[in-house]
Amino acid sequence: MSNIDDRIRRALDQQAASLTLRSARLTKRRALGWPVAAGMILVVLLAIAAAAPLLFPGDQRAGQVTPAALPGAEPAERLGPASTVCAVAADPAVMAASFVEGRDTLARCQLLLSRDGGRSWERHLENESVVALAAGPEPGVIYAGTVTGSIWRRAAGRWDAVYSSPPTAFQPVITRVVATGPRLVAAGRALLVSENGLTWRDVTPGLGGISADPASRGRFGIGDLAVLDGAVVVAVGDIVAGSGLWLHELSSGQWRRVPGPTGSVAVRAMGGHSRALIVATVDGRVWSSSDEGGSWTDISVGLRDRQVFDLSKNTSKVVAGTDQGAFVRMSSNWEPLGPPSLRLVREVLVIDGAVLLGADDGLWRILLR
Amino acid sequence: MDVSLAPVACAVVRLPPADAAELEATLEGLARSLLPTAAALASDATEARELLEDTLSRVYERLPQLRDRHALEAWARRILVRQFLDRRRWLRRRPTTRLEISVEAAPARSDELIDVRHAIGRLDQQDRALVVLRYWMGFTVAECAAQLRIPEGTCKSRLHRVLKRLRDALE
Repeated sequence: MSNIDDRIRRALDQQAASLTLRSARLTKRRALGWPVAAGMILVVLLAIAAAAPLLFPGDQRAGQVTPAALPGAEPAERLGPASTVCAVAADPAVMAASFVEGRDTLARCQLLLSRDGGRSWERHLENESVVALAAGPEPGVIYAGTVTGSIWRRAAGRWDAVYSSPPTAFQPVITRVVATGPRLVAAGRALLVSENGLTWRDVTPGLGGISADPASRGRFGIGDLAVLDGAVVVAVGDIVAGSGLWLHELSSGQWRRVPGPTGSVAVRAMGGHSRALIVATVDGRVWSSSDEGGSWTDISVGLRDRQVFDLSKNTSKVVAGTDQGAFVRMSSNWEPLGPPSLRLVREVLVIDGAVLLGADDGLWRILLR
Repeated sequence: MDVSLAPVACAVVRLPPADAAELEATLEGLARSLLPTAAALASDATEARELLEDTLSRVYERLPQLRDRHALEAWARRILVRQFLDRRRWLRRRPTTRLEISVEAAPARSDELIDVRHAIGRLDQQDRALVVLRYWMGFTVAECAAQLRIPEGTCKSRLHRVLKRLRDALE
């Protein structure tokens, strides 16, 4: 070994040992701090609003932003606070959305309800952090899933806890609640099915090595789901070991593995109706299947290099929320949806005549002509 | 370490709801083991901390893509080196969920090796990465070439040139 090699090695040893770790904490990105960033966004939006008549004469409506080109789309309108949306649900009588409140260790998803189409909002379930929402099937009924694994039901103006996860060593979060026809499905550490919204049964045992024993859940979790005719397909994941798709036959209670579109690449978002499935994988691709996952077609063209965080559920209109805005599938391509300022869209919900987008900067409604 | 944001973060970024405490413990363990590499590559403590934060945020986002959990550290170290080499490109696409790192720097030392550290610090990013890969991480020339995405012959001649520059600077 030459003298210079040795000196380089010892110098790098010294430099490598010059730092010690004090702490490491997982956090949402707020380069300038949450209130400062929100304030800056507000200032920028006000500046844009003030300058808009000069910059875009004849293209402004009060409180609205012209969306990117979507045939048949009206201007977008923001509803509620300009904060990150955790979950959203709506029916003709009530709109529900949860927004991130607080910072760091105090951060939680606060549920707000509106009964006037999003003009005014009231706080609900202030002791819970709500990360999943569904409306229906009865008018005005809302279901809320929490980070502590509970499901709440609101009917006739009253909230009742209708499900509580059994005590476990693992975080029992409910990540999704979907209402479809008379049936409700919820997922997180377990797949739960209810025929009336009041009693829920855990149908997870039989999926891979999962048993009724909570200890068998380990690092198991369901990231997203799609409800098809007579079946539920779930994207199962382990944070490190990867994931797969599994189908649960509602009539027989049987589980079977569904061949995924890309081997072991994890599915981050999915949607579907009838026998059609659409999934987005973490490698930035979107796939569709018309036969419950028997065969897959890559439909990523127009969405490449975007991470899809949510796909519309139970509807033939396919909308994707991505890290670079929202997109709607038109014939064989994807068209941008919503204001061009949209960045991370985590929630999409297609309702009668409109699309609701839960984004980093609030809840947006885009009316469809 | 605070962990209560992790379940919200997991749910919000639509990752499977793994055990939040374990997730952060995994990332903190990675931060600890990757810090010396970040410190060796970076020119100062601030750059090392930012490099490590960006790397672990990428690792967090891409965890579901990892097929073999035993390969986690080597996989994360490759991301760290690529992150260092492509810093400007990465900064334009910063992830939305981050692991915030706090580091403590040892008092500056003045000794016989300070001139060597300064000479290495004056190298450009590619050359500095090459020196760290070859002389500190112990990669072969072929492995360095693969990591830097350059032909092996180019890597060999670059190494020769860098060594000559360091030798000249130190004489």
